[in-house]
Amino acid sequence: MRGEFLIVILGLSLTCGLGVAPSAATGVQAVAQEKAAAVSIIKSRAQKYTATLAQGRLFSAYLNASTMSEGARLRARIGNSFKALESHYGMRDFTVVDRSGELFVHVGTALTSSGKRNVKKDPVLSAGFAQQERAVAIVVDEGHVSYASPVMRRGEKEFVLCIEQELSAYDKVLAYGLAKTFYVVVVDKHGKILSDSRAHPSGSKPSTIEGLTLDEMRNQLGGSLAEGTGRIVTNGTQSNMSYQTVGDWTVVAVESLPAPQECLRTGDDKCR
Amino acid sequence: MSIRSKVTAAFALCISLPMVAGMGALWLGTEDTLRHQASQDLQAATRSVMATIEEQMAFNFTHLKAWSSLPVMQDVLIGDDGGELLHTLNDLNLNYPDFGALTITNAQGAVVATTDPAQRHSDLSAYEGVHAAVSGRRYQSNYTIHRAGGIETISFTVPLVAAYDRQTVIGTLTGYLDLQAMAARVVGASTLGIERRILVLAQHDKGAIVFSSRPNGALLEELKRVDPSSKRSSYEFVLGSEPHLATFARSKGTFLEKNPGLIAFGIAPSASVFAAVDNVSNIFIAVAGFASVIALVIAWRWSTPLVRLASRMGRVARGEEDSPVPKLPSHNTFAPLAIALDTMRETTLIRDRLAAREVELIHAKSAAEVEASSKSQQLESLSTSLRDQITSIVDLCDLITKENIAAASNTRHVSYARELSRSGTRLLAIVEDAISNVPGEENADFDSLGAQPVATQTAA
Repeated sequence: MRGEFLIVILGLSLTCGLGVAPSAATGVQAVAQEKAAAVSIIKSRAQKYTATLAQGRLFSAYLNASTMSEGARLRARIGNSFKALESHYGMRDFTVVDRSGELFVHVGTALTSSGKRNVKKDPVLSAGFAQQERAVAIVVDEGHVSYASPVMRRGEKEFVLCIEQELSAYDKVLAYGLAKTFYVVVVDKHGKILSDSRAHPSGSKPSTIEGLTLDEMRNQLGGSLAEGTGRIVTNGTQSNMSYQTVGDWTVVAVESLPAPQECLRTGDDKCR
Repeated sequence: MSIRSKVTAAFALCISLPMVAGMGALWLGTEDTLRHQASQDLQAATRSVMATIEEQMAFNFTHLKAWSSLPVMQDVLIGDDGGELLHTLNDLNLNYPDFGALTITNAQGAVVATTDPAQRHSDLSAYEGVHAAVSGRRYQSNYTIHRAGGIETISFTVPLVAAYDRQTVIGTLTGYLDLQAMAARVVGASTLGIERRILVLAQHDKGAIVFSSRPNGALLEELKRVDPSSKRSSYEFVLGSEPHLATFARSKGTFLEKNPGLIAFGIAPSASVFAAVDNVSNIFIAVAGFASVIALVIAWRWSTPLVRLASRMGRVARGEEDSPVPKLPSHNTFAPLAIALDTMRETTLIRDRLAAREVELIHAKSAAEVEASSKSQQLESLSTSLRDQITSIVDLCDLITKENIAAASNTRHVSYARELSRSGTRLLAIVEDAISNVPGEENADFDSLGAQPVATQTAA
């Protein structure tokens, strides 16, 4: 009888233990993990599509085309293949530029200039031509991320395929399904905030996370380069923070917590 | 009725009655077996369809589990804006039409992507399947209304697990089966799909019809009366003045999370089910008819010698003994009868000859008797005449003698008279002896007189 009672108690304890809600730190960590995965998805998919499209047989067919009409037809088909992916994973502009900087194919609306580009000076094109076959260069520009990969023919880089991905796509992904007490930002390796789940009417992004740079946050949380989780109190406000790296980007999740009881009682300005 | 008809009919009955009785018994046994077999076939087809539908469900459930592991399913993390979930779901739905709809929700139950326009942007957080899947369990829901138009169907929900830690549930994938399309495909490949056969799929507990390969209100009403819990495996009922046979099979839930609670009815017109029985019946009737003809022919052949014997017997009976008895082979059944008839005919012939001879002899006897009587009378009158004349002579001689003895001295004349008288007396005695020696009519034995020679003659 006593044994059965102990088993029941043990079972109840286990059930309660499993049913306990995760701690606040665990919650923000889960959000960071989830959003890091989401950012990784749209980033890696755009990267993958860039590499795949750059290896397309249509380019070889075009370069081997014997007539102008055939070349035009193939050019149109290349454009159509881009259109099928338009708006997928935030990809909006597809551009193919030849070695001379001449625009070969363009699908999208955000192109600022349709003239000849300077291949050496254009950071995206130069990065693209600098890549090996199947490799993709990622260049973050104002409001978008550019993915560039060379189109090879017989070992020669004939074209560079550039795909622009809106950073607002990251904003939407970060904000998707997020509780109101959370916000998430994506920070590049230089500490610049590229994307923020919070809507900013001005369109500008904050420069710090809760008043901290990326390195300061890492230091305060005491985490590794790849990830870290903890609670930070800045200017009397406390928040749970967690970060996860995605390539050379870092996804930071922040959970705003209510002000400590002491601040509420004293009305200390530092707490605000 | 002629003897021929009677004998033939008798023989035919003798032959055909056992044959008919035997074939009848065989037919009854065969019919029973065939009917049982036919209903078993229908039931086997119904069970097969039910099992196939269940297998198909299980396959689809397995498909759903496999799809939940596709890398694209991780797109649930970025929502429906810009991902490829909808594109993927549409592709899957196109290639797997057993699913009426495929829906993906995030971990909060909000629909991220769906092939069902009615579910787009809806919230399925209250759906038990989503609850279960978010808890990491696979879930099978029987007859939940989550499809456009409120179609009740069976759905499967599986969790979508995050690739980054392989344990966090980031969403759910639900597949709503299109039971009608699935059943239509399954029945199309089964024997229940052939003409005039019907498959009806119903919910076991509610009795609601899920699918009917041939919608028929009267049929569905009829099926509501069927008690699937009974031990009977088949039912017969009349539908539109045509008898139908119905069998049913219940789902078992093999390979599934739980029994889907379906019951399949296989229905077919009795005529089509028992077509084999009817064919055999026709064959039996044909064989019986042929056997009857054979019986009649055999009866005719067998009765022919008997009829001929009977005809000869009639002629013999009428006294036509000369008519020959038909010669039958020694192995013939009626050969002894023919021999007996021949013997009888000869016996009759001898008897008739004897009778004729007897009549002849009687006539001869009568004639002889008349002749003898006439001779006797002639002799009697002759003897009387002779006696009278001789007596007169004798008497005269005597008188002469007596009267002339004294007168006559001549003795020699007396001696002559005496000698004459003596001679006359002797002559009279001779005549009387002769007359008395003539046989009388009453002494004649005519019966033995002519019998012996005739018998001898006949024997000879």
